Amino acid sequence: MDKPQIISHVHKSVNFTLFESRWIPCSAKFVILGNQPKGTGVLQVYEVAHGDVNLLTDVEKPKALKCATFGASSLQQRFVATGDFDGTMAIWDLEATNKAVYSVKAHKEIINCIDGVGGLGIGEGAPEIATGSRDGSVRVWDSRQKDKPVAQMEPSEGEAKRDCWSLAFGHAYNAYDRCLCTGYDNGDVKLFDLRNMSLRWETNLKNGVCGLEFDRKDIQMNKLVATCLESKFHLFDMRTQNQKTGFASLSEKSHKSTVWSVRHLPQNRDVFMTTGGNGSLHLWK
Amino acid sequence: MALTNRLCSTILVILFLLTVFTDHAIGMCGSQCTSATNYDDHQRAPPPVKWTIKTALNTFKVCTMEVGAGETTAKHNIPLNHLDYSYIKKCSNIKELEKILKVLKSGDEGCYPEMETLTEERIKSIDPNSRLLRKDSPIVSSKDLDKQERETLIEDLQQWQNEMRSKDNEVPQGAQSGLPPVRGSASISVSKNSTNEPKKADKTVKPRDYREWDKLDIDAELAKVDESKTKSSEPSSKASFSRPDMEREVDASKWSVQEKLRKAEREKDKGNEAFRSGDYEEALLYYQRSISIIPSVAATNNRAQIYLKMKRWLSAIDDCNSVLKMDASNIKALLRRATAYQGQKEFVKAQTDVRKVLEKEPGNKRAQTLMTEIEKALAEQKVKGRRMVIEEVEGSDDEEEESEMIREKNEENLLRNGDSVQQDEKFVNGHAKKTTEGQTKVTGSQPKVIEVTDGQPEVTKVTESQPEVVECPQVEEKCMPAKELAKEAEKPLESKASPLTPSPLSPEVNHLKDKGNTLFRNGQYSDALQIYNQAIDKLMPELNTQASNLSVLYSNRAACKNKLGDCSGCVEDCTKALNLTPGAAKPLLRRAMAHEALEKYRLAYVDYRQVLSVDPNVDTAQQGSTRLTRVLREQDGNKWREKLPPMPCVHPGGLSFPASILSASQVAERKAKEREENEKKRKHEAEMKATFNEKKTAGNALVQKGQYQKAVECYSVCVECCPENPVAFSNRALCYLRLNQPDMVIDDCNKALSLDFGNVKALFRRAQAYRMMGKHEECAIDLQTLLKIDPSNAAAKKELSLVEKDKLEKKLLHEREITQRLAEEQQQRQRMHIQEVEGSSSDEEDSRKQKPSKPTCTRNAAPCQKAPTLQKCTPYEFLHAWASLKCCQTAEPYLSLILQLTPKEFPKVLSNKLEGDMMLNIVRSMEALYKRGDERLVFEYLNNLCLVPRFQMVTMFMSDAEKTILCTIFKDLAKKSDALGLSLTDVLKTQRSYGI
Repeated sequence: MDKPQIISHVHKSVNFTLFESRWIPCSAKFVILGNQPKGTGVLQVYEVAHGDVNLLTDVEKPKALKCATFGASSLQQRFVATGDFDGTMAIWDLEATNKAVYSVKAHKEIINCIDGVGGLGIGEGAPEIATGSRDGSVRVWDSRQKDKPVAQMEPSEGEAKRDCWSLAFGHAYNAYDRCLCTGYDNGDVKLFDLRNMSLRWETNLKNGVCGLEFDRKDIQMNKLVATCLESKFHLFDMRTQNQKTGFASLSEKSHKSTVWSVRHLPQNRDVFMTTGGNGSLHLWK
Repeated sequence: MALTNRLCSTILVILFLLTVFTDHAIGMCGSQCTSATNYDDHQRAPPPVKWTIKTALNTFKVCTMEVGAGETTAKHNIPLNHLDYSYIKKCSNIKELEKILKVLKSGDEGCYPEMETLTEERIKSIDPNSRLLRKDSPIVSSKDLDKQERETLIEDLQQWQNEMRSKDNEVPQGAQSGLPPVRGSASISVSKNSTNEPKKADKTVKPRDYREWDKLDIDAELAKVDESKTKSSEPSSKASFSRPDMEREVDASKWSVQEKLRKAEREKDKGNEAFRSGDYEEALLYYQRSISIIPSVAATNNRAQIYLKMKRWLSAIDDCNSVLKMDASNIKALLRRATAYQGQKEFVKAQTDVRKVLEKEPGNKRAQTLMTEIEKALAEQKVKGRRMVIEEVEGSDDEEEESEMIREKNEENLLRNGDSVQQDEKFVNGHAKKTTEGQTKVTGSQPKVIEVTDGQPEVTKVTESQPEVVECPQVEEKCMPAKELAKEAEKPLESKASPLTPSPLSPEVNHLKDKGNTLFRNGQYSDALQIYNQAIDKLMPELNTQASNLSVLYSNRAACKNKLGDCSGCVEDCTKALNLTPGAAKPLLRRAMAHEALEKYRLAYVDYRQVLSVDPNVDTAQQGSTRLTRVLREQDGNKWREKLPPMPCVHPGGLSFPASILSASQVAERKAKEREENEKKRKHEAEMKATFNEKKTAGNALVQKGQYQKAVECYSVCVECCPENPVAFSNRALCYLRLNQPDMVIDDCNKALSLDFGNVKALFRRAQAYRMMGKHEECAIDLQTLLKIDPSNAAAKKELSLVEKDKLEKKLLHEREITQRLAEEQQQRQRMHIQEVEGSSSDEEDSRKQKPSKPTCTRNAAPCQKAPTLQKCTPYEFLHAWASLKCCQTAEPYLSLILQLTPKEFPKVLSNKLEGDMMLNIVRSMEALYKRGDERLVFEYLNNLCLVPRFQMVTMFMSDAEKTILCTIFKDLAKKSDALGLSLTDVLKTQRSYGI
């Protein structure tokens, strides 16, 4: 096989709007979540077995679930953190889904994006979950601290509150350093240094930023991919910074529609896949 | 078809145009718009017609162009005839090809699948990465694959599932430990700034008018372009990623095996990625972390690879060995070790490793190439090896070693006894002989022996400089960085050492000297002093031959004495040392310091200057001389240089610093000093009273240390001893000043001044004390008298200005108080009157004190100013002086200023600076002058004032008051014109020019 090809093994349709799907670390299982037509949230766990997927758990929650991450949970626990339409961030034990392990009213409006770091042996330092919301704020949570975010990034008083569509942790190569990159509906991309609690870099990509991901969370910032509306995505080299123009970047047009998200290959940071609004998947190197 | 259609339409348009033009002037068709306007101007054609012509012309031009170039496609502007097989085959312009492909794909010009594929192939051959070649392929389901492939795939998937399941079960249970603490809450408020909005491209501002093109500075624009170019070409700095806070080792003791494996794997992966991107440092770091968690074959092997890349052969070999221990048949490790050996030039070992690889994997390409490389290298080495053998015979290793040994021994010996130069020479020669005897070919070793003999003076130098280094610590007391001095001291030493041929010391004396040095270093100064005494005694008989060494010893003893507080002894020793070696920097520097400590600033200054003349790079001397310049100026006033003792000319034997280096000014200085010398000496002798001096020096020392209370005691003793000497009083006053006892200061200063009226120091100190007490008046008086005695005393001037400022502030405060009180007591008129008198009288006093000759202004308390005298009658000088009188209310100073000018100079000096308020003042001063009865002069001035450039303008703005003044003056002048010898017509003319 000289050329990579994408093969679909299993095809299964669900009867709700699907927002997010995540592999459960260290297993052949995955979690999907979304919202039912009636507005309630769904969380399902599937297992890949014998060339098919089997539904293991199906939970309904009062509010539609928007996003999920395992990034901040330990390998022992493998708790999933979710954000819902109501602005609540909750951490669930997939073995006992009736009650949240941790729950906090994180935002006033829908949580668009969530990311975690410090768990699963990925990234050093405290396990932290970041949530970005339509209310314009980004908050960082530590499951050991109740009801209060450990850090928050808000638009200052009187500023227009931009919808935060995406965020990504990175630069967590030691116990102290950590960066959080956030993307907004107006095309802003901001990079926050959580160690210094400062805005490290910002730029505008002209189109709303739907997806962000560092090639690796637990190394010194290397590459950042930001995907946008109108079929564009940008690749930033976070190690080449010009005094004036910021980080060196490349941009590419593809999918002929919104590029919704980007995921890097866990085994090789140089390979990543983008997902298009027209149902297409593109694999890049 | 499309083409013919379009052509038809264009032809139609042309025809239409032609019909339009036939109505007017067909000849215009090919001409420019300008000609059309010309026609328009001349013929006065109606406007609508003009418009038609213009548009018609433009369209016509466009049309002809189109016809000339041929038909193009609607979207990408590709000429239609380019959509052709032969053209596409030839075309190598990727942009154009892409456009053609786009056109073909869009199907606007028809569907040509064959041409499309051809274009695609063409593009592929030119740019295989072209975006247009990307195609979305439908997602492949497993059913689409052929059977074999599907089976392998399913097998893979099954394997993965099993693997994951086992991993899933292995996942450790139990609580996680060792988490870092929760972050302290913090928030960032994101403020919008310019970067949030997409930046608009800077639009180039186009000139709105053709004339603006003329103003366009082409050079400036070009420069701008260049600038922007350089900006854009600014290299983007590769952020340097130092990893100071990244640990090389990971503490994995708390983790379970599963966790460790996972983590190690992850670190290894990160290392791999870094390696792939060429960042070997980072990759090495991650591999190290991985290995520190759990040593794995892969990570170690990869680390070996990194070491190979970094050419750290030995580390690479180490890693390969450890890999081979874990996995003896690891081909990669073997190959890598072979490469490392090759790098180490151990070709035989490399060969065995490669052979092993080839045994296991005969087809390994890398191994094969490596093998050939190694064989080649081995063959080369064989040839080379023979030659090397010959070389070895010629200049064997032993020989070199031996000569090195000799050198080392020599150095040791020389260091031990620096005097035994001759011995050493023999020793060296002996060895050299031995080596020559031992070897048949000496060529290699001989130069080395010579080197050793050459090295002798150097070595002796080292021994000599040793005590010098020791001497340095004495400076610490002087609050100067010892190290710096050590460095400085070395410099003059070297310069000294070369010309003064160092005569070897006898072992006895040398031993004593060394002992003294060590004692000195240990801080046992008195013991060191005794040792140096002995050494000096021993050397005394050989004074002629051992002058330099004796000098060094004296200098060292001086250092001891200085340490022990015997400053005069230090001076004595330094002088002796200098007698032996005139111009030696060290003793000079030391003597300067001792002099300074003894408060003999002049002598100290001279010594410092001398040090600098010997070696201008000695910082300590530079600092000292500047410091003393200040002190001496304070002490002796501006002419302090004249009071300096003569600077002895530095003419040391063979020393390269003759007096000619000294600047001419310095020579002159010295002459002046010589003149003053005798006087100075007499003065000095008078001061010499033993106890007095002793106590005074002690007091001075205490002052320098800041122990003022003790110093006061010392000085008190001095006062008792010698009550007629003002110095003690003045010094005690200084102490009191520092102790914040101004009344005591004033007391002492009074005494000192009663003894010596002109004692500048005492005056200054009293002034300071007064100021401390807030008595600004007295302070000012003191300072003024001081400045009378010594007009150039900078410190006093500074102080005076400060006092004046204070006084002014106080006065302002006072005035404000008065006005306040006035406002408060407006009803009580009587008292107000009294108040006013009070205030003004005190002010009068003030001003009288300052300028008693000046008439005071009665109405206002503003100070009256004296008109400054003009150095030159230039407009600048005059205006400056005029402006300085700004706040003056009376005409008097203005008049005096004007009187400094002749009437003829008036227009020239005033030039074009005449202004309304200036005019007013001039008129008023003229009035004053007129009242004095100098009518003729007034007329002269007024007449010449008319010639001042802006006169006409200014007269228009004259106030009534001015006009009446001038009126009266002119009337009087007209009356007295005959008496004054003026013609009436002139007077009237002038009067008219004033507009009266």
